[in-house]
Amino acid sequence: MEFVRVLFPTSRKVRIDGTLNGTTNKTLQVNAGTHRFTLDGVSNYSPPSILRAVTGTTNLFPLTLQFVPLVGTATIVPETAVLEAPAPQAPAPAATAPGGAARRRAQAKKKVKKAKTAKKARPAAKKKSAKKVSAKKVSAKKKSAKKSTKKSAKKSAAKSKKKGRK
Amino acid sequence: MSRARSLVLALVAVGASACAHWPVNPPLPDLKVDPEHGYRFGKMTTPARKDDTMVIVSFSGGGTRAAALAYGVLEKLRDTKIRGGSSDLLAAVDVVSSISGGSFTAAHYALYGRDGLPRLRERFLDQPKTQLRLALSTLNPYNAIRLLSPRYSRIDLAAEYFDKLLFDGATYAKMPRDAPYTMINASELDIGTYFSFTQEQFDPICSDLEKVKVARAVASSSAFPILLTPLTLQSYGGPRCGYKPGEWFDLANQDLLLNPRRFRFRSDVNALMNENRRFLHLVDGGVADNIGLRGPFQALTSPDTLQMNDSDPVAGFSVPTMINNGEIKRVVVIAVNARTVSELKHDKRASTPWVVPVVANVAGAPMGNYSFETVTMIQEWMNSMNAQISTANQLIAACPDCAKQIDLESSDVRYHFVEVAFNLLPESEQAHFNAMGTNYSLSKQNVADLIDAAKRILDGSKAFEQVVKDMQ
Repeated sequence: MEFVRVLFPTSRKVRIDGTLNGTTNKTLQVNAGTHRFTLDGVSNYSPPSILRAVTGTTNLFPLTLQFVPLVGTATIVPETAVLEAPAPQAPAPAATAPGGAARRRAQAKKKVKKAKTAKKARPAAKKKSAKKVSAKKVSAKKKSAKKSTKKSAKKSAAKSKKKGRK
Repeated sequence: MSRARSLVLALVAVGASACAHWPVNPPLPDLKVDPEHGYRFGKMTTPARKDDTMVIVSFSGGGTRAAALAYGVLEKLRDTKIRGGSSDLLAAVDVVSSISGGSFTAAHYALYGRDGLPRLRERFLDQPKTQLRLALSTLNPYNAIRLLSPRYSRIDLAAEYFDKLLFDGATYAKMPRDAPYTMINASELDIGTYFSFTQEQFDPICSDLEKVKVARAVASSSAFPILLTPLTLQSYGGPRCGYKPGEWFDLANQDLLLNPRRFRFRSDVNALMNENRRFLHLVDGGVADNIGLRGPFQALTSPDTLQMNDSDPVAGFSVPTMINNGEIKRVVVIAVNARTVSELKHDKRASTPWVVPVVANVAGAPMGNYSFETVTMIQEWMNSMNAQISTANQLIAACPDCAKQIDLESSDVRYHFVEVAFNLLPESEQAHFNAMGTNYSLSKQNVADLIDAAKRILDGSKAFEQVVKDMQ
């Protein structure tokens, strides 16, 4: 007899070779051989199924398989998109779902793309903001120059008045 | 005139023999497989559905000797109180698997229940002339003429005889669904594997078991080769009625090295579904498994069943599936083995043994060895399962923190194996039982001794004592 634990964040019914067999996060019994593991109900998890050759396990060291939830989606993945792990030649004591890594890689690619597009967008914005800032500075300088000329004119007028009185 | 009369008689005989035909097992209604139709495990309301213990009892072959030993076990289970005396062990039996002589007791118990036990003893066990009457029935002119037909043979006559004697024309439609799931096993001649009379087994041949007489199942199970002819069933070809096994069927094709038993099971099912296999010829169940444990062993160790997969409400007979679904916490197997050990006969003399005992021994020795291996295999398997649980418990006791990482709750199942066999009796008694032949002509005293022996073996069994203690 072989032992398998199907990991998932919540409790879901597990199907082994299409038949309902216990729930996630519990140790399940199967015969040695090639089995397909899926979760019952809505297909909002990844990978859609895990195909594994189960052998060499004990109840203390069950084969561990992992499904991850697809957050914010409720898509039913078509049969052609089924990701399957190849049946290993040697007994594998534990494994994680390969689809999870693929998904993570795809997410990482998206992030990189976003970062690139953000970089491209940044210089233009900088130029615009720089123009605005320089324009403001110029106008401020002009204003301060006008003020200073007015002040100096007033000062010189006051001096000439004082001289005239003397 | 006499010539004309004899000619007419001959013509009548030829006509009668031409008309004689074995009762054809009908196809499924509309030749369409219905996963919820018929006598199948998933439709039974056996005790395991109400409690957490799966009790499987197997009755071996061995003529009336086996039937009487099985009868004694049923009586002992009836008299063994469990759950504080509120119930008995017989009421807790979920599955009965039987071969040959044991099939008489199994089928009768399935049909007539505990109240029918005295009937079985009166009509069958205590009838030492059953074999003689069966043999004489072939001399009846009507039967003799029918036996000339190539489509009617001694096994069909035996089935008719057993039907009148014990089963009153009952078909599988009359098998109670709240009684133990009864697997009456024969052997398929070509494939060489066991064949259980259940709808799950009849689905691959697209036939309806509901209309098959229980007596024919019992007759085929006890169709001892050469003495009785094989029993014929018609196959309507699995794929034609839409039957397809579960997803395991395709996956198991890769498991020749990983799990040869699984691969073999798949091959047997595939052979059964073959559209070119238009008929099945069934012989004594003892040819494939004289202990009646091969079917239960498959169910104990595998989630692969013959039940069609796309029928969630109706599960096949698989103990691991029931364990995974939290239905079972304890498994009890009681194997009733009426095998005898041959006494010192031929080795006393220098003369070459005669052909009949040679043939009998050549046929019997492999069957006996295979039964021994089957019992040992299932016993060892159950021991290894118990050992895994106790190892895990020891680890948890030594390292309480480890318990968080180990899920023992779902795999914490206890397995009990109880054997009832003559070699468990005091040695001084064994010769008496070993001398009893495999036939339907045991004396009333021998039958009484066998019934008593079954009870005493269970009384002295520590394994049985443990079962009773656990089920209190």
